[in-house]
Formats: sequence, structure tokens, C-alpha cells
Amino acid sequence: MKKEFLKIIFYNLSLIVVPAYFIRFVIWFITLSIDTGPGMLWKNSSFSMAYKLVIPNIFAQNGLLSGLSVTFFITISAWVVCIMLSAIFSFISYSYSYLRAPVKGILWMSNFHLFFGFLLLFFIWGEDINPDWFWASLIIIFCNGSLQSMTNKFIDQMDEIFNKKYVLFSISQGINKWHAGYNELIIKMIYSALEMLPFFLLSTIIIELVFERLKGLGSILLDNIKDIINNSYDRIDEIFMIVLLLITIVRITKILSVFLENKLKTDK
Amino acid sequence: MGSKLKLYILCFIPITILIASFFIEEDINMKGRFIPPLGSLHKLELNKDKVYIQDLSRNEKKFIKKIFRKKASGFINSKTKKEQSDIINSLIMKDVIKIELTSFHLLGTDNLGRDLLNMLILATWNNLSLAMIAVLFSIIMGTIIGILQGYVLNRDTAWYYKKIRFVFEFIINSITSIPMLVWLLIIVLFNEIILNIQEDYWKTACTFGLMGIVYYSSILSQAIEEHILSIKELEFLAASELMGLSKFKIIYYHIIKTNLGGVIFNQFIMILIQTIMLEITISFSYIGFGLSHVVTYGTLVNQMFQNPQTMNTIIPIIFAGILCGILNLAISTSKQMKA
Repeated sequence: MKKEFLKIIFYNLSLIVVPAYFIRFVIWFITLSIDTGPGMLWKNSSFSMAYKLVIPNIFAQNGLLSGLSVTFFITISAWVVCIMLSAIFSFISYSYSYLRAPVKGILWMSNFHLFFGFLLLFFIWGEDINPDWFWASLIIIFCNGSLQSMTNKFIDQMDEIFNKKYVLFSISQGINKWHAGYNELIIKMIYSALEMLPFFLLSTIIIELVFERLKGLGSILLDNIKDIINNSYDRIDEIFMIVLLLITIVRITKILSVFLENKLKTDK
Repeated sequence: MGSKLKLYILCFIPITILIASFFIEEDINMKGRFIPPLGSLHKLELNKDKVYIQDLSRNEKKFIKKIFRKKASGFINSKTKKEQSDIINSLIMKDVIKIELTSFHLLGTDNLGRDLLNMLILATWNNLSLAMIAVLFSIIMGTIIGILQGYVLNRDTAWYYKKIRFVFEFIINSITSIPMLVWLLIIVLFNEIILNIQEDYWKTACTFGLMGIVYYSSILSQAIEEHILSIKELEFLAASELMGLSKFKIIYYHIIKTNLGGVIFNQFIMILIQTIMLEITISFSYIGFGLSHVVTYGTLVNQMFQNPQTMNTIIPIIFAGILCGILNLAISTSKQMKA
């Protein structure tokens, strides 16, 4: 049991470290082929080049923690609000069938690109879009398409659970179906929502690129990439740390969703 | 039957736009001004002899000076025509100017005076042709890896098959662990510095091609593997093996031809949508890694963003959003049909 547990931890850690090091290798390879000037001492010998590839400087990027907190805060707030809105929309759609079509129509609008929300705000207010984090979160909620897919998933899960024998039996005994299926419904909803969290993270790092004052991980990553292209700077450690953090967040959500999936299977 | 008809209609819309793109040329009417949706452009011709004969008011003289600027003809849009209708009617009555409709613009024009509908139809063609590069690479790679993972390496019992399958699985999981935008930026960096392609279109095509090979093919292979695993235990596969059919025939006839069509179609459309969205993202001026000289949704959005005087600014992104919405509906309709 302990060996199995250690194996899982090792597997998940390697799924964080290996892709991050792959990206580090690509950036290292690219940096080797550009002229970074005489100041780059690590290019002088093969040993220092190998050392540079393997050993990261984890404090190379200034403001990494604040960047992480900005990205994390926007992602989580958009995700939580989206779950609540999806729950409300799915409840309305499920309970009142005549409202399904208008709700579907409203949700269909969320397929527009994230920049649609930004352009609309820019058209109204110009560059004075304040507070940035609030509007960025709203754009992610309403323009990245997940409101529609999350609501549809929730409706499917309601359909599935309320047709199960134990819920039907409870209804026949006079118990409210929402009360009877509550536990399973909540776990399944959280599972579906967790599955979509990486998508919210992606939307956050995209929207950070256009809100210039939001210095999140996406924005810092873009600045570093532009520094390599335009100024031939060495940005191996900075990009590595950002990618490592992003992969870690994605991996943690995947581990949590797998955990919930296993819990659902054992409950069955 | 209803779902099938709906799917045909949904697929018909983008196909019609693509066909229409063959009949459109990238023309610029050189007026360099925004015309609002449902607006039109009018040509005014000045009768110079009458200007001196007729008794013109101060406003009329001002209007003539502003529009014609010592030329014999000038252009106004429907908005100006409406605003200055009194002066224009008076000048027409006095036979000083003649007015004729030059062009009508359903969605208005952009800052260069190009008809937006025409440009959006052209952009659809360019965007879909770019997206097809990612789709083709991802479908070829994804199908091969998915079938290997789900059927070939999973069916036989040789010990090394299991090891190879584990390695493949680890690589695919590693690739999908990295967010799509990180892949995109790294591929852009690779293209800019290592491949050093100068031409805009081919640079973006290369970016999407690499995205197809690396990222989208991994996503597709996971979907295909999952689908094959769900049908693997079905009797027809075991029966085909017992009948002595070759692996190639089983894969082609019983897996790809009869079972994978729906999955590949859905993933095909999903990748189309994602590449359209990605093109808009990387072409945006704050990011600046996309196209600049080819008419695409991204370039139109970017050009309009830099001149945000009218509501026309958000038309390209709404058009792209509607197209993606239609494609999304096609996916859900195809899933409904299967269910």
C-alpha cells in the first residue's frame, strides 16, 4: 500500500518535472543559438552549459509570487462564480423546461472570444478599465465558453441522477428529489468543475496578456519571451519557474479530479 | 432525422462562406473611412459652372469646400448624407451637385474603407486554411498514436508492449500538462529564432502545424484511445481476430471506418475552433506574434482595435464568435445524433 502510494507520488512529480525540464531544454537550446553578448559566462564551457541546463536559479524572476497570486486569484474567483452561475442556470433549465431555450441562447453567447469582452470594454471606457481584476474575471466567466459547457454538464448530471432507482424510490416515498440526490449531485458537479479548472487557468493567462496592468504569470511569461526575441536576453530560469508553477497547478487539479473520480467509483 | 438536418444546415453555413470567398477580391475603395453597418457610400459630382451662377448659402459653400476640395467629385457616407440632407437636397434642387449610390455595405467598412463582410468572408477562408494545417497534422498523428495506445499496444500480451504503452502515455500526459498558451509561445519562439521564417503566412502556418503535431495530436490520441478502450471488449473485435483478419484490416474496417468517424469529426471541429481563437490571440497588438499582411480575423480585430472610433470595431470578433458558436453547435448536434 505504502509502495503504491509512493509510486503515485513519484509518477505525479515526474509529470510536473519532466515537461518543465523539456521546456527548459528548448529555451536553453534556443538561447545557445542566439548572441547573448559576452556577459553570459555559462556559454564558455560545456560543463557550465550542462550546469545551466540542469540546475535552475529559482529566484531569478522578480515578482513571481505576486504574479502567481494574481493569476491564482483571478482563476479561482472566475471558477467559483462560474460554478455558482452554472448551478443556477442548470437549476432553471432543469426545473422550468420553457426556460431552456432562452437560457441556451444566453449561454451560446459565451462562445465569443475572450477579447470580445475586452474590446467591448475598451470601446466603452478606452484604456481606463478599472478595476482590472474584476473585469478580467467577468470576461473569463462570460466569454470563455465554459459557462455553457459547465451548465450543460450539470444538466446532464441532474438528468442522470434523478433517473436513478434510489432517487425514484425516494420520490415515491415523498422525499424531495433534490434532497435525495444532493450528495451525489454535489460530488459530480465538483468533479466536472475541477475538470474545467485548467481551462480557466488558460483563459486567465490569455486575458492577462491584454490587461497590461495585470502582472500575472501569463503576462510575465510573454515579457520574457519578448525579451529573448527582441533583446537576445537569457531568460531560461524565469521561463522555467513560470512553466513549473503553471504545470503544478494543472497537475494538482488533475490529481483532485482523479481522487474524486475514484471516490465516485468506490461509492457506486 | 431532425438532428441530421440540423447538422447539415450547420455545416452548410461555413461551407457557403468558403465558397463565397472564391468570388471576392480584396478591394479597397480608398475612401479610408468607417461606414456603419447597413450604410452606403455615395458619389457626389459637382457642376462647377452652376456654383458661380447659383446663389449659394454660407453652409452650402462650406459643404462644397469640405467635400470636393477643388476636385470635381467627392464621396460621402450614408451617415453624412442623413446629417446634411437639407444642404444636399437644396444643392441637388439648384442643380449644383448630382448624387449617386456607389456601394452598399451590410456590415459597414473598416478603417481602410474595405467592405467588412467581404473582408470577413476572405478572413474565414484564410483562417480555415491555416486551421486545416493544424487539423491535418493532428488527425494523422493523433489517430496513429491513439490506435497504437488503445488497440495495438493494449491488445497483445508481450511484456514490452506494456512498457512502450507506459512511455507513450507518460509523454502524452506530459504534453497535455503544459497549458496550450505556453506551447504556443514556445513554438513561436522556436519559429522566430531557430526556423527564422520571414514570410508572415508561412510563419503562422508553421506555428499551427507544430501545434497540431505536438499538442492537438496528443489531445486527439487521448480521445481516440478512450473511445477504443470503450469498444475494445466488444464481441465484433474478438470475432474479427478469431476469423483471422489481419490487424490492418481490423483497424481500418472495424475501428476507423465504423467507430472513429464521430470522434474524429468532433475533434476536427474542436481543433478548428481552437485555432481560430488562437489566431485572434496571437495577432492581437499587445502580443504581436501573428499575421499582419494577410486578411484574417486576427488582423481585422487588431486593425479595428487600433482605430476604435465606431461600433464596427467589434464586428470581426462577433463574426468569428458566431462562426465558432455554429461549429460548437455542430459538435453538440453530432453528439446528440450518436446518443
